[in-house]
Amino acid sequence: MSPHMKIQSILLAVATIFSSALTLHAEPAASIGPLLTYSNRPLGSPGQPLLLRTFMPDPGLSDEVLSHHHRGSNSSKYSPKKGKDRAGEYVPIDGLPAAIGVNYGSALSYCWDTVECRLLYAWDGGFLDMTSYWGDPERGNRQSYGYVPHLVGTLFYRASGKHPLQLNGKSISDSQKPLKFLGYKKIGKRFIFMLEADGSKIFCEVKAGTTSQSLAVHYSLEGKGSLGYQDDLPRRVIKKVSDSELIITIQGSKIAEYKGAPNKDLLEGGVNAASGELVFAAMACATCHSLDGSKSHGPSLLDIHGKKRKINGSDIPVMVDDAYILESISNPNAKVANGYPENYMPPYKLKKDEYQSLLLYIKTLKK
Amino acid sequence: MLISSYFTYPAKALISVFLVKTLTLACAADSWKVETIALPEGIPPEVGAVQFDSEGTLYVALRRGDILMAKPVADAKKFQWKYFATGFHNSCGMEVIAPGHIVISQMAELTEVKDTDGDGVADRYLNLSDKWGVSGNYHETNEICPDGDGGFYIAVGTASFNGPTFHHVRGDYSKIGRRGRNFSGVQWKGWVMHYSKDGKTTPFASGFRMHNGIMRDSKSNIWCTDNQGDWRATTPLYHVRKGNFHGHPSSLVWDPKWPEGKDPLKMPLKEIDAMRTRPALLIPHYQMNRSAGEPLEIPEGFGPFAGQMLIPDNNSTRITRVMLDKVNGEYQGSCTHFINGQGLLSGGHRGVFSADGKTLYTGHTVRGWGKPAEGLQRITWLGKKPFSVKTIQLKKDGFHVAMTQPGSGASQETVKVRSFTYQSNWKYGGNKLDMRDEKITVSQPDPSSIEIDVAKLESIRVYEITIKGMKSKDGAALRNEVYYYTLNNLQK
Repeated sequence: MSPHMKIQSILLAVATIFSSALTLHAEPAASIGPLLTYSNRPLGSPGQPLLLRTFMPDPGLSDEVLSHHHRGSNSSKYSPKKGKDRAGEYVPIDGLPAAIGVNYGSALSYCWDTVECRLLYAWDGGFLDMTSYWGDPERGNRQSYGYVPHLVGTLFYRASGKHPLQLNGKSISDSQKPLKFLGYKKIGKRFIFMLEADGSKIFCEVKAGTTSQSLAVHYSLEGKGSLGYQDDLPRRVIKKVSDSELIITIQGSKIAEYKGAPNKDLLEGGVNAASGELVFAAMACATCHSLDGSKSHGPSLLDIHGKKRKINGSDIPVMVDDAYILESISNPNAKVANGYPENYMPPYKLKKDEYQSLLLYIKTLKK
Repeated sequence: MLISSYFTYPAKALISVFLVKTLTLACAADSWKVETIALPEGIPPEVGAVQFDSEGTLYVALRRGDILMAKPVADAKKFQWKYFATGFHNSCGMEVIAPGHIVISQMAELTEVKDTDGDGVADRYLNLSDKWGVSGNYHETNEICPDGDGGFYIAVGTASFNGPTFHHVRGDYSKIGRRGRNFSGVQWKGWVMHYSKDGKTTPFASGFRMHNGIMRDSKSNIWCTDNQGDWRATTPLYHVRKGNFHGHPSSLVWDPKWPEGKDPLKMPLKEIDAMRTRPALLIPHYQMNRSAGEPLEIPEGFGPFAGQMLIPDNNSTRITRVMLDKVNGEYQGSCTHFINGQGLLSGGHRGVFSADGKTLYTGHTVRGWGKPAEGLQRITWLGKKPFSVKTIQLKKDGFHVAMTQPGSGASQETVKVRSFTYQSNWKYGGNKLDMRDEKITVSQPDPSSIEIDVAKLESIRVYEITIKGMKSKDGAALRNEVYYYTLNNLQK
């Protein structure tokens, strides 16, 4: 356990003790219950689970499992300056657009999807690392291009094939009408998902099983009809409580291990412009600063070094030299380029050699 | 490490922010006061939406997923926050149905959230609508406003080419719609949708880029702001009516009548211009509002501008005041600063007035760029009427400017009028074009108004009116010097 996770666990333990007192002010957020903090590794607990809706990682799910999703495609790169396509293509990334993550502490996490209306995968030993999506609060950035959160822990169940739940002898994947996600109820520490298949309302609850890396999935049907279950997993037991109620116990085993966001050393290649380009990408600088002279939230970085520019609050242009660029990254509100907003860009806290590399990269951006 | 020490600024930045705030607060806290409200320590104050319930409890939706609530108190640092609900992906739209019962728009869904057992915490989350696509792009933000009949209008924002899309998307995918800077690769991006109380979701209006602000006013008009960018030469305010197209072409691929295979980005500008509804206001990006948040109708109790509109600037420490003018049955009008600085945070995004109308609560956030443009603030009317332009109305041959109180000093020498146009196209933003000085005649037939006659008044132009050196009876300077009137229609 990392020191960071230790503190989180202690705070969560404190939170559990005081969970009846939900009123709060001027106290660390983690001490009053399940609030999300700057921590990029949010965690629930068995007594106080956490449900997070975010882009969810796709740990290798098949097209058959994701049969109700549509397929994206490569797309031509585009130049807004010219209003035309340019060389190269944008390539889609992996991720689930509308799934839900639930965490019960280190014992169980699972991903339930609102498009496929089913449990997609389950893991233990952690939940999600949100660094790529929420950003590193200490360094200032909040996103990068590959921003899908990363799994933390051991994947032990991954769905395959059609929806295993059958209604009147047929997989609900083959329903005549589209499956419909209706929502969920929270009863104490339980989440009960609701879906509609061919006009029938079905409830689904996922719990930890009695053994390590096992699951108990409870299905029930409102009204008439008969539920069945069909998949090709070797170690699962179907308990048919009645025509309208099933409990499936699944004994999983290690499929893959995940360690969260890759802790990439941006300076692996040394202090140079190439490393600077990696810093530029990791800090998502392109969200506001174009490289081709086109306008955006912030000034374009094309051909700025060595030129004079006007800044807000002064009629005398200043030289954009090394010191100006370094200050603009670490303390951007000290001098704001004329025509751009004050108090908008956050100060970026980088390592000394990351600043230097980024500076070297910006200096390469010439016409 | 303590969570509270997680977010430390470079000391220099902190000191300069502190100085700026102290100075501006000291000299501008006359008619309205700006305060920053403390959220629980260690919570990222990325405020996606703010609303009141009928008992005066403030609900604050945070974009990572939590919803907090508190009864406002006099001390902005001592709100007693309670946890109400969690589990929303980028919740940027919220309406309160009743205490403990709200509707949230999030990335993938319009969700009804209710505390059914009365313990103060939500326990039922129903999917009201998910009839739009989700591409996986971070930029696809949604907002809602009531339709006045138990349903909602949903502003479904486009994706940005600064982020990717997924291999597996929700809903139909269009390779043509995926092209461009801000794009519409999946259904209904760039549209206003209507969710009616019987549960049906239908397309209402198209042609938006990032209408990060939708509002229904007290006369049942629907208003959308949008962000300066591609197909937006400057920040617009649209009066939205069913079936209209509002100028950003990408959304057109989802129009059921759109010809198969036609690429809206390849349409000639003339064709787009002929199709589009013009904004009621073109709000100059640099001078007034870089990136509009939610429009807000000013109630009674907030000073002399009741019935006018405020538009937070998501990209600067400003709020724009809009003075609408109905000419030949169509809205157009003028704008100026309501607040510029005065301790206001950047990232202006959402707002809600207290029931007595005296206080505006504002939520601040910008996706992924963080401090110093996030937090919760409130602006309170202090009761001292400002010396300000109250309204600007178009006359047949110029403008009638009404003041909030009598003043003097408006003359041929102190008033200046220029006019210009904008041309929206694929480029990000656009310059003022065809700028010209106008020949004017200025008079003050009574101390509470100014008559500005313009020799050559033309439609489809923006008129910049500058008034310098005016003083009220007790010597106060005019609150703003510059005003922009968007003239779409001349008086018949």
